[in-house]
Amino acid sequence: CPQTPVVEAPEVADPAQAFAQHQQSLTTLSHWQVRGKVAIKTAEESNTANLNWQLAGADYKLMLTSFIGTSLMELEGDKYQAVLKVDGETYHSRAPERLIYQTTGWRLPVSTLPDWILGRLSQPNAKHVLDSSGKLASQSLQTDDGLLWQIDYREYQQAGGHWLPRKMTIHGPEITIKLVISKWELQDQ
Amino acid sequence: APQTLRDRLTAHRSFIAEFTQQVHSYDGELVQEGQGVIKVLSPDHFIWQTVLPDEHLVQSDGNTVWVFNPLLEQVSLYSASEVMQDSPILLLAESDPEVWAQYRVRVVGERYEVTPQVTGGNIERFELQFQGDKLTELLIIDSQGQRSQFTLTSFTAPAKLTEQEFLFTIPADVDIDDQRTQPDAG
Repeated sequence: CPQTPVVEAPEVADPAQAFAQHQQSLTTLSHWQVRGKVAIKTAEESNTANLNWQLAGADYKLMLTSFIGTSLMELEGDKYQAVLKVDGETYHSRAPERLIYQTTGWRLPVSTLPDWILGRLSQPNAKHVLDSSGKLASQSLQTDDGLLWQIDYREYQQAGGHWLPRKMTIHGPEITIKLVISKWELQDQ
Repeated sequence: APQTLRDRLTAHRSFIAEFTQQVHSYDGELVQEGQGVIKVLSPDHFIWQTVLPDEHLVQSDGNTVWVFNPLLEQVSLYSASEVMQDSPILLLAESDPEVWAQYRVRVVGERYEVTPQVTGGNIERFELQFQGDKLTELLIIDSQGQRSQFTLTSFTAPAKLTEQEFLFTIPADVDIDDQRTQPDAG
């Protein structure tokens, strides 16, 4: 079975202008699902899992599954609250990011993750670097809780008429998250 | 009495099969899917290679279990003795009666339902379906009710497999996450 060929986006004369257009096109995407693999490395340990992330407007659902298919973690929520299922326990919280950190030791900025996964600048003034086709090569920013993050985009793919990330690495405080997306599903409303 | 599950699994000294995997959450939603190949050489030698949607490998030579993820450029090493009984997949190659004693097996026709004696783990039960001497399905149900179903095809037994094939050579520039209890000097 052939590996999907890596298709590079064409170089453009004016990356900044292409960047503005690309970022604009991403604003239309509010309902989507990604499936892929994730490696989460903290100071203590490193885990790999299958990832399924769904976004529907402000509602999100993250499912981490082991390779034999058992559920490792499930997080479902919206802007205000979230339900976390991990290690057979179920938690309700209005601060999902603090809850995730307490239960798993992972810092997971749930509110900004959708933009990062999309390859979208999550803060207008965030420091960023473009690739030759005008897409984000990296963005660095400080989240509201004062934590510093850098997201490097290593590969893009085409899905539903959009250029979307395939490989990225999220560098955060005591955490590195490597994400490889094998499938994008976009729902146009 | 019906052949015990262990007899059925160890009846073939070796087998190869292709699999498609579908994972559905408790409410029936498709969470993950994949395709690949399983190779087993008793005792305790095992390759489970996923090729779609992306490559992933779980391999054991009876001493070490390697979990290799090329996309993530990472390989994790575990002591086989520790992980062998935790994962139903690895049990396919397991011959140690002591490990099997930790499971209750119920037979319904050619379908075996296997439940851990010690409950509370993340695996509630798993089921193996045979047709004649071919294993055709493995279903793993976890404590959240998530169902991971492997449908096996092109089951070939015996299969020409050598022990060397189950030794994994770690490629260059890959993160090594060695979780073995006493990693050998080598």
